[in-house]
Amino acid sequence: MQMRAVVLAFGVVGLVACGSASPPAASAPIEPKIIAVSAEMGNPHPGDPAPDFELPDDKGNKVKLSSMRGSIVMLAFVTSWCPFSKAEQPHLKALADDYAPKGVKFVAVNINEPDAGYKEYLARVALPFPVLRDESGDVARTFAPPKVLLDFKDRSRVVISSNLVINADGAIRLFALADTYSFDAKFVHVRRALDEALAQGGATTGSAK
Amino acid sequence: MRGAWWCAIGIAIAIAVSACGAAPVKNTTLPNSTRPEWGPPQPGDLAPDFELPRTGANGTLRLSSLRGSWVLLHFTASWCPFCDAETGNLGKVADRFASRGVKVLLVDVKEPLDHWTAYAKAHVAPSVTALHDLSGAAAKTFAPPGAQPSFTERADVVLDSTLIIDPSGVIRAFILPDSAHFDPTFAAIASELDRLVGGAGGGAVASATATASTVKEPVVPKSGVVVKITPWSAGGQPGMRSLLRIGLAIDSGFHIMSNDPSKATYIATAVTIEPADGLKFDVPSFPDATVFALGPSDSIRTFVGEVEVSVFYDIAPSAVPGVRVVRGTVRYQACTTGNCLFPKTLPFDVKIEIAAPSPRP
Repeated sequence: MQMRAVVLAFGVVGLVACGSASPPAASAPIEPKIIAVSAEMGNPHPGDPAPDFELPDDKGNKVKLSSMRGSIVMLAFVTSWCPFSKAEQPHLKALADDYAPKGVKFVAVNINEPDAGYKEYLARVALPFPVLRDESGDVARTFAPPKVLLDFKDRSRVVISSNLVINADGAIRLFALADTYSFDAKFVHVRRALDEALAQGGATTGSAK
Repeated sequence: MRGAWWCAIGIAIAIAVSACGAAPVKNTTLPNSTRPEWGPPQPGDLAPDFELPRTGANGTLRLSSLRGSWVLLHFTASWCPFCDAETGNLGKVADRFASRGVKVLLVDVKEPLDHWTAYAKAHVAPSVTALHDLSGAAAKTFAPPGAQPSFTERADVVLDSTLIIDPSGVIRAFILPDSAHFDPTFAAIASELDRLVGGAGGGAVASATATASTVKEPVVPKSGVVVKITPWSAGGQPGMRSLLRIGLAIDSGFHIMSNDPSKATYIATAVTIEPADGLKFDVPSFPDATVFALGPSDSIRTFVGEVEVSVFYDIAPSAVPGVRVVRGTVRYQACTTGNCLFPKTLPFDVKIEIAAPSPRP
């Protein structure tokens, strides 16, 4: 009995020694990242005016992006079925709850979905801002930077789960495509950009071109 | 009694030593691999078993029935844009490794059967075994608990991920989709399969279909640039295995010889990497060549358009964190269908960041 215990004890010591001899594993929580659209990816990119559009909300009221000039705008592209969009949705509400009182206007564009999908997205989390319907995906296509994800034949899919912070003058400040490995579900990068935009009164600065 | 004690210690040490030695195959750790702290399954673990109905064929397939073979396992859904961009390329991987006994499985996650069956018929090559996980139950068992913590539907976590499973059923690589460095042709996975499975190296060229007639004769390259070189690497932590990719963008109308042209007199494309402190580079791995017929029995193997050379490297466990500037060269000769330019050797450098190691949890 005693001998068994000894064998066991030394076995455990031996295994622990093995473990510590192997290379150290990454253990820090994964840092949320985005793919920040840059000039090399083509237009539109930060510094460019955001392509204008007019789309209906769920009640048929048309909303025009350029009508929000004068305010900082956070524009989110969403779908009901994309796991990244799903994961973002509750945090999108929290983001609006935090920043709408500071004067930031929010608008979401649901891309290329049948009625059922659009309604499912609306029902899942009640968002305190308009969720517009881009039924054909044509508006989403005008935002897709031409030099990223070249293998996506339907270009409207490039911007799914992407988020834009737009300055008061209509120029893009941040254009964040989803980084699927280091996914930023909680909008860490968008929050940073909104804080900066608010600190500068929504103005487009020289650094943004 | 004392003799028995020492005997016990001896046995314990022997067990411990043999346990230490029992990892002859090195797992693949790329920057977009799963991470140990996310929990199982991870490389080194036995793959969870499943039995799923085949799509477009009768009966079911049990993963463990493939013991004895290397298995490439990929999860998909037709609506997932990343998956959709990759699915058509899986057949090329299956064809390339078929002679080495690698089985390629494609598991559809949670789609209606008729929808998936129609999609598979149109997009999945016959060399790939298509399977259907209607409930997502099998997919869920592969989702490490700490991966994609914001996903409530856990079967979604493994969508578009790829695993290499060895003949004893142990996971050797578990790669998640990475939109920032999307690899729709499975170049990294194919390179790793080459390393792990061994056997006939290099890409199979027999399936390349381009012919000389598809090349338009250019006059002069506009900018003087014929081949643009774009190296990239995500770096990693000490002890990791990572990947350096060197993109070669070849001007339209030109081709360069592949790394293995059909005649010794042709100048093969070659990549050299200078030694760097704490980094050990593998032999570069080249993409499949495009074959041009020169005549009824003569052909050349070339690269055209945009191709990518992969160079895997090991970051030494003792590597000092910081940024290394790694220097290398690409040697090539660019030709049109009528003429060749002088061979060139172009230098490049690429920053590789070695992050500080973090302690085990």
